Amino acid sequence: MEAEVLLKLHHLHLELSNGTALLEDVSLNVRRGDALGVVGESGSGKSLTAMSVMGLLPGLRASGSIRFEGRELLGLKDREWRRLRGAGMAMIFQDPMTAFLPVRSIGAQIDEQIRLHERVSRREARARTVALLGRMGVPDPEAAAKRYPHQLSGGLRQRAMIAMALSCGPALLIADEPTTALDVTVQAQILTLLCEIRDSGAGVMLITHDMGVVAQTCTHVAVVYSGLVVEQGPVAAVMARPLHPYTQALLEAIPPLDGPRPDALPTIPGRPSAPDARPEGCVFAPRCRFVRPDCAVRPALREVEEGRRVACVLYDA
Amino acid sequence: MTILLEAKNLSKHYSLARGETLRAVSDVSLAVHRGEALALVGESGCGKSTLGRTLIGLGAPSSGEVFFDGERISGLSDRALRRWRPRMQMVFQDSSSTFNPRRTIGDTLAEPMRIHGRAGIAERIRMLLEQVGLSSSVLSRYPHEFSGGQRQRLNIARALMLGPDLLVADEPTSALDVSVQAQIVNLLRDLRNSLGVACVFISHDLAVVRQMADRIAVMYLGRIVEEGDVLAVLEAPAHPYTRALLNAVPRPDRPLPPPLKGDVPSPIHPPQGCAFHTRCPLAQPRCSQERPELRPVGEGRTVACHYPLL
Amino acid sequence: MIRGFASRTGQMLLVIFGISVLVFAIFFATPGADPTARIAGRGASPQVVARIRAEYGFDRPLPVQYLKMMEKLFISRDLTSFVNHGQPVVPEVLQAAPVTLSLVLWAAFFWVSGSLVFGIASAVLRDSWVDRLLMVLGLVGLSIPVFWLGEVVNLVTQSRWHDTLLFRWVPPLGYVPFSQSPFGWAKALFLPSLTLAVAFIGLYARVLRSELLTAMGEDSIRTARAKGAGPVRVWLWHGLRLSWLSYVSLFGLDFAQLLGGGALLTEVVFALPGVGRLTYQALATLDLPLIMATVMYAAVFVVVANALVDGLYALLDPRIREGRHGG
Repeated sequence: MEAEVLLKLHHLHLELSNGTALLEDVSLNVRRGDALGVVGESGSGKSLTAMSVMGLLPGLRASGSIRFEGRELLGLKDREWRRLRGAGMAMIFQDPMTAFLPVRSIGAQIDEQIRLHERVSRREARARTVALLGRMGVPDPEAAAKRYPHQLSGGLRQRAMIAMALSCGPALLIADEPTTALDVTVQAQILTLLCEIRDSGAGVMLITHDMGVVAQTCTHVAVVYSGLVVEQGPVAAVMARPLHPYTQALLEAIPPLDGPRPDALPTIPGRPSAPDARPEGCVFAPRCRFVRPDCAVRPALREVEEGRRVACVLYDA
Repeated sequence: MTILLEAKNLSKHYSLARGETLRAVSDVSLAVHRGEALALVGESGCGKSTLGRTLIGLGAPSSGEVFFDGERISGLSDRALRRWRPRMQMVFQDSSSTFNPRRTIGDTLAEPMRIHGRAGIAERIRMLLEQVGLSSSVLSRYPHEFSGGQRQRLNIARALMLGPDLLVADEPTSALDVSVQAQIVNLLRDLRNSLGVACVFISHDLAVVRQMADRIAVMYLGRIVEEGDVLAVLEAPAHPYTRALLNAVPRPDRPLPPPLKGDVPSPIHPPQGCAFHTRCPLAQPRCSQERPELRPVGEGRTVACHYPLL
Repeated sequence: MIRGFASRTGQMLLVIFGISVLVFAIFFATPGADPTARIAGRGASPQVVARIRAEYGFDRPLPVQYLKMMEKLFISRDLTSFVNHGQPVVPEVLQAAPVTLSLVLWAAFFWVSGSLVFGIASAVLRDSWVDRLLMVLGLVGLSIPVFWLGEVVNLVTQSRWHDTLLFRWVPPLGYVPFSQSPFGWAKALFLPSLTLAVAFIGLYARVLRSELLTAMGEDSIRTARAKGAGPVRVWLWHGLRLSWLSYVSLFGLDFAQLLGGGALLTEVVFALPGVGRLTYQALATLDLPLIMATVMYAAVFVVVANALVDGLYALLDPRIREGRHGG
């Protein structure tokens, strides 16, 4: 049952050149056929985590370990990174309008990625591009390949983006808020597509702020708060019974779509501390309703149940 | 309850190059009662923002009329509209662009009252800041010193400065994180209860709308396709589109249902008949030929569908 | 497509018409000034003045005068300079045009390649000492008056060190037509065009650097990196594609105004018989028909170049092709 671990982040720490830590301690795993949702609010470091896996953060100092298919990525030469990017792992972004180059056709941009990694002729690359677009549900893929990004709808653009990401058959697909810029009905289409990709055996890492999106597309979830993973586990278990007070508060803050309408939504008082002013102890302590004296020492992310890990003193044995 | 704002057969069309016409809003009639909150819901391009702006006289309608407190305000000149402006205010999504970055918060908040020559500015600002949950110490600070949630609070305070009867809020929470969004949703609800101000919420988020509004109007390609009490509509939608919207909201408690196919058609070339028939899972031949009119289904509810789900 | 072209041409003609009316009004319809005396030049004989008055119709209404003038400029092309003893003006301008064209083409070649190299280099090495040095050099180039630089170049290459190995090849001042000797043509234009290009290299390198750095912050560049593209490809293929637009529009305008006589100082300093120098001479002698002709010639060039830039824009950016902007 235990599938092969595709990506393993171990105590990933990321800091600015002036020593401010953006990511304090991120540890997580993605297995083949798994989709890991990385959830957090803006500034939590969820996108930074994704970018550091892709090695797209020049100028930041990373320590710890990023292992992809058993190979350590930190300290890799730029040339070797490049061979991985787009081939072994690929990424899709929030806004497919700005993520594509506006002045070249969609097809040309997908062809480019194929030809960057494989020695194929233009004609072969285009044939593959068209086939991919078709598989991603783009109607009339041959014509769509000749169009420019602004000529396609938001949903089709994101499908094209996914087609480009999958063009070299990556083992890992990282999706950074892939549906935030889309309408709900189109979002549902794209999420369905991501589920299919996951089922086809690739590992997916989905960065999002939306617990609902995670619940419906992911198998596992990691909740990030202020540069740390505070809770991790299988989606169903975490949604049904969140352990960390932050996860609980995050789920409660979503207005319900059925049942009685509450007079006031539960909220989290205050706001996350800035990277240069993080508390010594538990990062969530200043906003936590269960705060107690031993929160002054930062709790480690520990396994408390089968497959579930949480960083909170409430679950100390 | 008396009617505060009423729109009759309102349309807003834009002429594009090459003689094409973008029909942003077509033949919309609606009413907002005093103290009531109406939500305009739909996907991008459905015309909800255009409708919201046209309702309060930001841009003249192409046809149709708007009445505010019984008087016709559509077709008035900007000058004549000035008299009405204090009574209807707008809150925008992007709170960072509504504040002049080079002016202090106190300056910006005082401006509407200065323009309209009101007295007691300092007193009013203090009171409103308290109501939106901020201290007077913010007055000498600049917009960039605040978080998105705080700026949205300030934005709401600014809109309330002149004591409006109607607040039009265009996606007031969609740029915010979930935990902050909950705070703003609560705040708007509290303010509505304490001030009795009527609201038009423009939003794509059904969960937020359910929490904030009394009534909901679902729009598709410039027309209202369903309208009614928000709890009743979301409990049992009558229009297939409303149901599809509701199903598409990702929720922690159930799997993803099969999504609607296709994209929203272009409002430049809307489909014949029912605009939704190209994506509707229940479409019949009649739907592509004849446009359904809004008609009552149940108490206080209307739907524009030949084969409603109720 | 054809409709767009037709309407564009119509616009151009309209603009040129407007300019011609304006220029005509300034020179000939200013109240209180006698155009006859102006055309005739200083100290002309009464016979000449009378002939001019009849020939140009200065005793008839203004629209007729305008039409006569345009006819002489564009149709019969027999506008003559009286200061210069009856020399026809239009052929003079047409003779000077190739000289200016050659000079400006060479200069454009230098300033485009120079600014590309400097601009890209300082963008890639931003905030390093190379970047700072290049930008300071650019500023210096931008601020040196072209006539002073030209005089210094002349001083160095023509007299002071002319006999050294380095400058022995430098030909005497003046122009050699391409048809006469392509090599001589290139030699004669090398230093003048380089001198002319210096300021533009400075300006264009700065523009390109800032545009390129803005472009590199775009999402699509991040995508290019995520695809696995190397730095050369990211900078040159993706980055440049995004930062061309303002560079191209700037180029179109500068190129046109130089062709239209903007290279006046360079042409005078290096004794090149181009349009600029012609304008200079006309101004010095107050030769009104000649001024009229050169101004019209310049206007036509600027307008045509503008249209070409717009066309190029559309080629470079498909969003503009459809009359849309941005998102």
